[in-house]
Amino acid sequence: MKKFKKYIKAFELGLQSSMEYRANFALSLISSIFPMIMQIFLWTAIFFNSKEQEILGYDYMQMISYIVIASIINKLVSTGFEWDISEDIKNGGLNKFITRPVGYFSYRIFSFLGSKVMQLAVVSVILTIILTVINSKFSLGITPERIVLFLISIPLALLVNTFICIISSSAAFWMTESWAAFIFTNLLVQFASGGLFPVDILGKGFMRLLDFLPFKYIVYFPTNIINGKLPIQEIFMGIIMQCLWIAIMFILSKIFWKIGMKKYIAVGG
Amino acid sequence: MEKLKKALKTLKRYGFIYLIFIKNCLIRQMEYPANFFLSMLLECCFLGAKLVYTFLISNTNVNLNGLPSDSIFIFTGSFLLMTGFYMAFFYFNFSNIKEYVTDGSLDIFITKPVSLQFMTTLRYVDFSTMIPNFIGGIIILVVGWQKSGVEVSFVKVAGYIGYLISGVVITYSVMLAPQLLNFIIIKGYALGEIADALWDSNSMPMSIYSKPIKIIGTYVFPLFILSNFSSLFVLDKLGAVNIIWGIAAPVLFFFLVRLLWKNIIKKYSSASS
Repeated sequence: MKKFKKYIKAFELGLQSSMEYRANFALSLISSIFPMIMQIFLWTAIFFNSKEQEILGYDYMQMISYIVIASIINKLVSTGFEWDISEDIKNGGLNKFITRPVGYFSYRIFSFLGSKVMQLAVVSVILTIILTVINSKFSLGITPERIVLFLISIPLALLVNTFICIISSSAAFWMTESWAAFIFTNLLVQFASGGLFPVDILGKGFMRLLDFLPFKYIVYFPTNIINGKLPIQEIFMGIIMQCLWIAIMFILSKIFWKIGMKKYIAVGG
Repeated sequence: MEKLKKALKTLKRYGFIYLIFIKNCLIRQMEYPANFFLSMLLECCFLGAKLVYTFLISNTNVNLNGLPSDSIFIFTGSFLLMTGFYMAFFYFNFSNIKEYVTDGSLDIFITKPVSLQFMTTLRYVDFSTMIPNFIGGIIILVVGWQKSGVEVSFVKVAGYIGYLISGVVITYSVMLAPQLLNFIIIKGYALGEIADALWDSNSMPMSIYSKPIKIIGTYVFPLFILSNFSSLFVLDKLGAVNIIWGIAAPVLFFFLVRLLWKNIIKKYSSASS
C-alpha cells in the first residue's frame, strides 16, 4: 500500500489540476457538441429527403442514436497526454524519474486518470440523461445486461486508447519533433474508432481490415453495445478482444519504452 | 486627397512588410524540409478523411434539402480552399496568441513600430498546409462544378472568387474573435478546440441546418459566409438579401473585430516578469 501512496498523490495532483481549469473544461465540453449537431442535421436531411428507410445499413433512429452516443463516448475515452510525455523526453523531464523510485508509466497513468475523474463524472451524468431520453424516444431496448456490459467495455476502451497514446508518445525517443506522429495517430484513432461516424458504413472490406486493429474497440464497439446493434455473443467476444489488445499494447509499450530509454540522452536537465 | 495619399502610403508599407513576413516564413520552412513535407503529408491525410465522407454522402444520391447530391463536391471544394487560406494565413497566428500572452512575447510586439494587431495576427504564413488544401480544393471544385452541370461564365467565376475573398475577410474576423478570449482565460486548450469545431461546422451545406441556426450562422456569427456563400452563388441558391449581405458582412465584421481587439488590448496587463 505504501508503494502506491506516491501514485495516489499523482492521481490527486491530476484531479486538482483539472479542477483548477474549470472554464477550460466547460469550453472543452461545449466544443464536442458542435460536430455532433452537424452530424445530426446532416443525417436528418439525408433521411428526410430519401425514399429509403435504411441508408448504408442504418435506419434514422440507429444513425442518430449512434452519433449522439459515440460523440459522448469519444469524449469519455479521450486521452492526449502524449504531448506531456514527449516534452519530458525532449526537455529532460524524464531525468527525475530515472533517479527517483517512481515508475514513469504509472505516474503518468495515475496523473491522467486523476485529471480525467471530473470529466468522467460530468460526462457520465450527461450520457445517462441522453440515454434515458433516446431510449424513451427511439425504444433502443436497453436491458440491464447491456448496461453492465457497456460499463465493463468503457474502462477497457479507455485503456486501449491510453496504451495507443503511450505507444505513439515513444516516437519522441527517435524524433525531435514528434508532433506529426501524434497528429497522425489522433486522426487515425478518430477515423477508425468510429468517433466520427459508424465505421461499418465504409463497407465490409474496411471492417475486415479493422478486425485486425484495436481502433474499433474504442468507440464503435461500446456504442453498439448500448444501442442494441450488437448481439450478446459478439459483445462477449468484443470484450475479450479489448482485453487482448490491452495486453498486446501493454507489452508493446514496454518494449518500445525499453528500446527508447537506451536512446534517451537526458538533454535539457 | 492628402488623407488618401497617406492611406495608400501606409497600405504600401504594410504590403511591403507582409511580403517580408512571407519571405521569412518560406525561408524558415525550407530550412527544415523534412518537417515541411511531413506537415504536407499530414494535411493530405486530413484531406483524405474529409473526401471519404464527401463521397459517402454523394453516394447516397439524396438531395440535401433542395441541393442535388453532387453539389456536395462544390461545397467540399470551397471548404477545402477556405481551409487552405485559413491554415496558411491565420490558424497558426491565432493559435499563438495564447503563447504571446502567457510568455510575455506580446510586450515585445507592442514596442514595434507597426500595428500590434497586424504583427500578432498576420506574422506567420504556412505553406505546407496550404498547398494540399488548395490543390485538393480546386480539383474537387472542378469535379463538383462539372457534375452539377453549372455553366462556366464570367459572372459565375467572378462571383465565386468575390465571395471567396469575402469569406477570407470573414474568416479573419470570426475566427479571431474567440481566440481573443485567451486574454481573459490564461491557460487551456479548449478555445482552440471550439475554434476547430466551429470551423468544421461549415464543411457542409447550410441547407441541412434548422432555420434558427441558419439565421445565427449567417447574420449573428456569420460562419456560413466562409464557404457556403460562394458555393450557393454558383448554384443560383444564394438569394438577393444574401448577395448583398455577403458583400456588407466582411466590412462590418472586420470593423467589429478591430474594435474588440482595441478594447481587449486596453485591458491587457503583462504576464511576464
